[in-house]
Amino acid sequence: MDLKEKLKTILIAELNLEDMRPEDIVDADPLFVEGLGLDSLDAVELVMLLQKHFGIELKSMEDGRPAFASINALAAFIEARQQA
Amino acid sequence: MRITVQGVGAVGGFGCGVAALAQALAQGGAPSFPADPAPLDRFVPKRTQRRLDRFSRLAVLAAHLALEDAGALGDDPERLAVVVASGYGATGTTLAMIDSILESGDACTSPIHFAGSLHNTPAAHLSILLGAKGPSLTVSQFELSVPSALMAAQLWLDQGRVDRVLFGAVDEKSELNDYLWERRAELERPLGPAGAACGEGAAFFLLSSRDEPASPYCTLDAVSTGRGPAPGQPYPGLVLLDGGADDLPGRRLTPLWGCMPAAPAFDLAAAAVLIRQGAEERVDCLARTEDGDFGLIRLGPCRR
Amino acid sequence: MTARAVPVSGLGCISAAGPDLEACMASMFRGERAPAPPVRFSSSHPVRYPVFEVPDFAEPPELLRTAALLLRAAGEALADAGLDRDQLAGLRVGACIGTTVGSAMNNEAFCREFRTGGRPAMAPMDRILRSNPAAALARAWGLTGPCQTIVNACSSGTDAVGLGASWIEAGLCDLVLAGGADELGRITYNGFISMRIAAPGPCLPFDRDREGLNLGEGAAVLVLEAPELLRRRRARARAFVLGYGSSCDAYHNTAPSPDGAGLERAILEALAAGGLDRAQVAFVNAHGTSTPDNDRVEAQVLARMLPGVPFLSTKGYTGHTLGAAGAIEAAFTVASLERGLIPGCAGFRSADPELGAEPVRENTALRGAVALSQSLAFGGNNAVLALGLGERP
Repeated sequence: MDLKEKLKTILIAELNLEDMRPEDIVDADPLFVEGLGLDSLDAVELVMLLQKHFGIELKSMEDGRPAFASINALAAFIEARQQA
Repeated sequence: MRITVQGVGAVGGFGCGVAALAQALAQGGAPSFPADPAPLDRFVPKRTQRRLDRFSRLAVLAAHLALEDAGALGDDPERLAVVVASGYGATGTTLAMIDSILESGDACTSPIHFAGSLHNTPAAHLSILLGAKGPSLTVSQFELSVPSALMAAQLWLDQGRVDRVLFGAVDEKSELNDYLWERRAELERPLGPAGAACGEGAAFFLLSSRDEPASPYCTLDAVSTGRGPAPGQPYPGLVLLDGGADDLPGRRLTPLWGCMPAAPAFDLAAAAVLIRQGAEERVDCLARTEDGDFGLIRLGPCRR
Repeated sequence: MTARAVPVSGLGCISAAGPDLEACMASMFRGERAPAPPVRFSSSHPVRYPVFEVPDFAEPPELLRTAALLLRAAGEALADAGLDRDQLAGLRVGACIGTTVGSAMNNEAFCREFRTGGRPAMAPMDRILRSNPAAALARAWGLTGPCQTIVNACSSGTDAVGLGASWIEAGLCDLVLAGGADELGRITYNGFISMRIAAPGPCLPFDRDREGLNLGEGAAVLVLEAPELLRRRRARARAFVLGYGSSCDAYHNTAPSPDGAGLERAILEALAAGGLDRAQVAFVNAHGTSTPDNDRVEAQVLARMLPGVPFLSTKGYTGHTLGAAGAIEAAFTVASLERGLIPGCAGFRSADPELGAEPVRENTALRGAVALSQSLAFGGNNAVLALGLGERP
């Protein structure tokens, strides 16, 4: 499974997006407010999930802001952190 | 000023809705678990439900059923309070939160499960879904949660702080409860009467001090809690007993709903149904603990 | 004074700021505070988030720490009111207590054993079942009146005092022991950290650089008394509960409504219940957790509704004590009214222009005999008490 596919599966399972399948999530669409419509509680859960599934530790929520723009942004963020 | 029960909603091992509860009352039969919150789809869009854990779904479903039963869905919530009772809280979500720590370490505690494990989460969801900005209260008093919380509902109506209260109780059956149930039975200190199973579910009511157009189930005449013998004995009509010794005449309905701290709310629903059907004129619901505490709810007929 | 004013005849409090109310007030007026990483439990977080533990307090093995803290505060309050067991025996005495942790069915060791295939012994669960705060208080003092444990998250303590007062007003009780209690524990600690609202350093309520809260623990109890009983006993009220207001934001589970409409509604209800004018408010003990969201909303509401009225958060001295907070802060509010002085807001250094208001920096003399103590909770509850100075010299 590629990274973006894995991210979508994780989001659906852990954020309880019960009525969605991975193919319903568009890579470039916003995750927060619009698009998927995630909120502040999802944001902190996502920070934890980055730690749990990818070993990435975010020092502050601000650090994560660019990553949370879309699936594309999230995948790019993870790849950059894992290569560092 | 009289307080009436305008609507009843319930979901549990007997099924979903006041009709299912009335049928279980009439025909008996053992409850089947887990209780199913799927009928919530009728009231709340699936996407909106994602933040609701099972515990909250059961409560929110029963609450909406009560409002629907009262013909009050969509009414202005301006003078509405929300009062919820639970004995154990969201044990399933609490366990899930602890699991997140046990499985992946402190840094992987799930914030969603943590927020969900707070006792007042169902009340919060109801306020948000209904746009109810009035007072909200959640009470956790183990077996006396229901009468204790109902005291607050009655007080707020008597004081005129609000003129309607969406009142209910919910308890969830998780692996933790099942283990406690089993272990206590082994130790010969059972958590419930012989013949009853460990239960779950939610029962909600729309209480009102208004002059409502619809015909109510019954009146709420008195609620009291304390220690020692419960007041008002001997009771003139049917007595529904929960917990305590078998030293008083009365019926125990726990085998119909399963045993849980919220069970007195199902007894309350049964009492309302029986009074409306004309089968009983007055019903007293008496919950007692092993330590000698009591919670008494007295219901009467609706004749003006 | 309206007919509904409910006398407060005794107070008891234990927190990180001190083992009793006098000690708490003295240390706050000296500007002392000691947030530190937890000692009673450990965690594997790389950052050692500070907390406010109650030092030198060990709970008995049969009770949860929350219940034990509550009993300590209750003992002080009853002694302060001049009431002993024998006197209570003939009266209708209720217990109305707020908590969060004290009602949670969680015990990590028990669950770990359960999850790894063990069959854990019942002792930890029995301890939880025995430690419902209001019930444990009633049992310890032989109380026979109504018993209620309120679990409204962070507003529980304020709600308990307000509701307890209404039991007196309704003639249900001669006395009500109203208050709150909560203990610090690993699970709560981990939970708040996971929500990214715990500060890595000492909390800075209403400050421009605030990052989050510090957790705390403690308990407080107010003895609420029917006026007829107070007269019969020839006792004096230290304070009066003049009014109580509460509301729900109906906005989000964990974030407060940005417009503060819920808090405004609760403040108006508390004032109206007491027949009070805003001009009578001498100060406000704010919720002031030091999170960016809470402090912004709260300060903006205070600036709008009570401009120029001094306010502070005492959480810089005690941490956020969750279900106990509203009760501890009600006790502090009474003690401040008695002294005509409020402590400076510990942790506040630089004003945040976005807030439109700033708390008092130093100990500040008061003008007036009425104060508000308010709490905002997860779940969107807002609860406000209007407290008035009593008659005890």
